[in-house]
Amino acid sequence: MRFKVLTVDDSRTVRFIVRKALASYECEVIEAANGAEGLAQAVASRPSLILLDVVMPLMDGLSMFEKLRQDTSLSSIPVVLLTAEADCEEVSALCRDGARGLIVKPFSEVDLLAAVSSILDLPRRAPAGAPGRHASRRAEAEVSPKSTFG
Amino acid sequence: MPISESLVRDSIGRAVSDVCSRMLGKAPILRHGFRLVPPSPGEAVPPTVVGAAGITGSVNGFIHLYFDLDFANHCTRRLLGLLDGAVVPDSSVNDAVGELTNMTVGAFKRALSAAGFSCRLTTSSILRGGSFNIEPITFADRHVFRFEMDGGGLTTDILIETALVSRESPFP
Repeated sequence: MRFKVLTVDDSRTVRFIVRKALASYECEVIEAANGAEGLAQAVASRPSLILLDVVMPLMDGLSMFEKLRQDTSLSSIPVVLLTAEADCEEVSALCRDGARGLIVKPFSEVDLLAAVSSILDLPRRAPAGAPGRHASRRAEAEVSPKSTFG
Repeated sequence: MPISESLVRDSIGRAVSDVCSRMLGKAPILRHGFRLVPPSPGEAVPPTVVGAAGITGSVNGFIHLYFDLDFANHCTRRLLGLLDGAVVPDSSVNDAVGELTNMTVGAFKRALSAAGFSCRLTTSSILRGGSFNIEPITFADRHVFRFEMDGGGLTTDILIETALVSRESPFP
């Protein structure tokens, strides 16, 4: 796989939704349930993109983001934040400090794909039964007002 | 300045509608005139999954979302893209209701913040059962609304602490 997307969220439901939304695209989805696991996964798998929940137990998204930025080997990985706390000052600060996108919960699959495809040029998976016909269509998603990018 | 009933109703109505439309693909309908009636002693109460989260800041309160068990299962299947009738484990339903609660209360508090009542979310939690009754504490205004779709529904029970200036001691 050319691309790896790391989804860091304490909700299995959200991680499942992310995995399902990206299932049609040529990317591997890796999961972590909190910031500490997410950091370990980032080191181990060097993802192309991190989808990062803000409020999580053990290590929250704000702390994980800060640690990513402090590690020169990880600081270039683009991070998109997912949160229901989009109007809080800490999240606004992260958007100013280098987060590549913000997805406000609740979000639709279109919102998610818009955020991902604004950073990664994800090719679609070849349809089953048609080996060799590699579709290179970029993830098609309308840019919705629910996704904002700083 | 106290929070008006209409601000609470409009804010939670938009929040529930937004969450259900985006995550479940369908908006529920607000049932007017609904009243939450506590069960009588010994009365059989249908099983319920309750999501709860608080808000704290210039306004403090707690929001419970009561999902009928069948409706909670239905919402989980829709959220995960499963077929009608697919069996989902309780842990998946709890996680889904927790996330729907977090999103709903998050959207509710953003509406309050936009209206000048800046606040933040607390951690959400889940309660399962049938024979329980949530009572408001003293000094809290209660706002109850019922939303229905697909033959089921959820009830939002919002407790908002009244303004400190209006407090009187409950003790003689």
